[in-house]
Amino acid sequence: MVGIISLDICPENTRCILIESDLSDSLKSKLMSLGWLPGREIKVIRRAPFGDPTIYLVDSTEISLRQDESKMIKVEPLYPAPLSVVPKGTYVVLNFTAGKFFSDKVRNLGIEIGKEIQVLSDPSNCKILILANGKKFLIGHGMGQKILVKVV
Amino acid sequence: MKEITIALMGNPNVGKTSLFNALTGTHQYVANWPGVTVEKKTGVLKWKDYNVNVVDLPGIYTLNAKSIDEQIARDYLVNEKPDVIFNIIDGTNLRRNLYLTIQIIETGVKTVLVLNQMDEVKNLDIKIDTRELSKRLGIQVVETIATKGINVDDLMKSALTQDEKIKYMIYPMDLENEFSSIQTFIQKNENLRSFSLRWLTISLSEKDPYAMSIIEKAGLSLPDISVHDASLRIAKARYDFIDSIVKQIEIRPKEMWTLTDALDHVFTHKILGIPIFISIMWMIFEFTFSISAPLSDLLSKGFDVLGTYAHAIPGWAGSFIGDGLISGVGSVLTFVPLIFFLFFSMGILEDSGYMSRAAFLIDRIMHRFKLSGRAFIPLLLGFGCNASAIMTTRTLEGEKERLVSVLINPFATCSARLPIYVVLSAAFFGSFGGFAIFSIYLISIFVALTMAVVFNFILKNKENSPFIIEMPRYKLPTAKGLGIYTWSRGKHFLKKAGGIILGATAVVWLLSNLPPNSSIGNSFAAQIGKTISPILAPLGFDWHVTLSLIFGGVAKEVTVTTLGTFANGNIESFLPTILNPVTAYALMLFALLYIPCAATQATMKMETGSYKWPIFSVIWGLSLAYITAFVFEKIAYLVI
Repeated sequence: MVGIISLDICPENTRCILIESDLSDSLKSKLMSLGWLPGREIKVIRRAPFGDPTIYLVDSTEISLRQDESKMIKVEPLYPAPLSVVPKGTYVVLNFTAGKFFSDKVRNLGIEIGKEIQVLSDPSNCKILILANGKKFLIGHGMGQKILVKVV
Repeated sequence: MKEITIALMGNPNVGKTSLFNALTGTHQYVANWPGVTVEKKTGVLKWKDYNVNVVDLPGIYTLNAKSIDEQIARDYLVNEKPDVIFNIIDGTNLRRNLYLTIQIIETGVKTVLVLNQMDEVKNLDIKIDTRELSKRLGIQVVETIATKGINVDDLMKSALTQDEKIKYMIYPMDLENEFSSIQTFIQKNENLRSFSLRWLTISLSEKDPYAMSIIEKAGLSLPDISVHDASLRIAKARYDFIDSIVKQIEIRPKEMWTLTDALDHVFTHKILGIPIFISIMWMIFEFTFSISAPLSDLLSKGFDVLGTYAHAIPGWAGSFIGDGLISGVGSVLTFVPLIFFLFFSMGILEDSGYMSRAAFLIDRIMHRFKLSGRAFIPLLLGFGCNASAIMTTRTLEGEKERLVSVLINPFATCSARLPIYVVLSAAFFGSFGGFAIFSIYLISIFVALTMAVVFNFILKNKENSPFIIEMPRYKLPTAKGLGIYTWSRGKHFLKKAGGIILGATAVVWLLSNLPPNSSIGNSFAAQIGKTISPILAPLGFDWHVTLSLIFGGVAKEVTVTTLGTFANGNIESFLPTILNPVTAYALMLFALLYIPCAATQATMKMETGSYKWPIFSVIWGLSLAYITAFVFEKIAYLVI
């Protein structure tokens, strides 16, 4: 298990487990009737072109939620998780969700499939501090979303 | 004849409307639930010696949430107690749909489970053991493909079969203990006899506000609920129960990449999504307003010809029939092609499933103005015709958003106002005419969106509905579904709004032709114009302008024709005698903002269910127009 984070920072293709929400009772009961119960798996399907809202999949039902509401929902991402949502720790790079150009670019930084890297910052919407090949460096949040990792 | 009432309930997008159509055919009536902007559809089915009243309740996911749709469905179920509920569920999504089913069964009303979209179930290679499902739930289950017709006999027989009462164990012991203590508590009260005990008990443990208000009214105070997090645990227990059933009765292949996934990949694509959205919106707009235009023109020409024939009747009567009645009927009927085309395209958007995607794509921008993505389409259509655009606001989900969308729509400058801008620009702004008209369109968009924020603030005691929308599977709309959708709404418009528009035309005719044998210059209308014109005098509008604006209240393009009658055919040389460039632009602003036309007011009344909102809109529009024109002139004179 990764740490508990809010749903709005999970990038596309993340799978996570619903922990709890701070939404109003009426919203909660509506979501519950759509299958959003603690313990259920949520898949982040797609973010709208302007970055809000997002389509989520729970129980073969796709619904769209705004970031305002997603922010109030606590989830725990499942591995493989994007680098941008994992807490401090050591991880193995499993895959990239982008093309060859991207993997070439990050290889130069020392991030390769199968390699171990260390994350030195907490998940947020900012840059991520990485330790790889003995070098410390920052990578962008968007890049972190495309790197799938597993805890060692 | 035996009378029974069947209500249709189910989640949105499960084919409830198709079943309703299949049951009632064209014997259906669209209206509103009393006092609210939610559509109520009723119909009649004759079966053997039964007269079956069919009520289509709003699509909902749960009985205990607060949105107006959910309240209506729940109130109907709990208070009106239909004889039978047809609970329509999507066969491809049993888990989610059965949640509402459990809640409905708990109200104790006889329920038939209608397992719809069985064609999709087959396509997806899902196997469902219907008989076992029926046994586990203790209710009748009927399989249907509502879009391809239904077996009425099967449904009606199931509706009339008495179910054996089975008691199934859904909830854990400690919850059940809690329930029985609440039950003994409320059982004693006489006033609560009319409610289903089980439903009330469970709702009370969930701390459902509606259930609490019921027992408060009965004079009881809420018993202490000792179980922690009861509503969550109740929901969990329901899902556990559903899971155990589904595991037993359904075989489902592994998730596949479906057509919907493929289409969504394109339609909601990060880069392609928006261009596709814009082209679809453009197509809808063109289809509705350009293709219907020749038909509308033909109708209005036809009525003009009819009107001239009526003039053959000598004297006053001929004029009244020709100009008052026939042109009045004509102005109602010219809306008909428009409305039909509009609802045809709305039907395609809704039934195909694209509507939700469109809302998803544009939501971010609309949300800045306190609207949701769904409010975009009515606003866009307002630039064609406000009256028909307001009718499309019923596709919006929240009560407040519906109302705000209705109220801001007149500020979207409809095509009928364009002739006013064109004539004034041509007379005063020469080569800058195009720019003047363009600026009016920009102001129109600005005002509409600003007013959205303002009305949201004014209506702040109405609850915001959060933007949770389901992305339904893409479906091919059926001709029958579209036909009934278009027809029932077109009919509704004619019945509800037709009378008001006709009345308004007749009144205006009478005012401008009385006293008998008067010219327009000394008619009652002119007298009214002259009486009111001191109010508009600070804006530099004389009684000619005042009168044209009053007539423009019937239909905006009449403003220009009225000015034309004063001008004796040479409007471009007449206008500079009563206006100057500053007052002309002020008049354009005024014409943009002042009152919604009679047809728009009529649809406002129809959609909101009260005269309050059209009256509010008239007063608001007039004040806004007056202030805007006044301030503009003051600044313009300072600058020049």
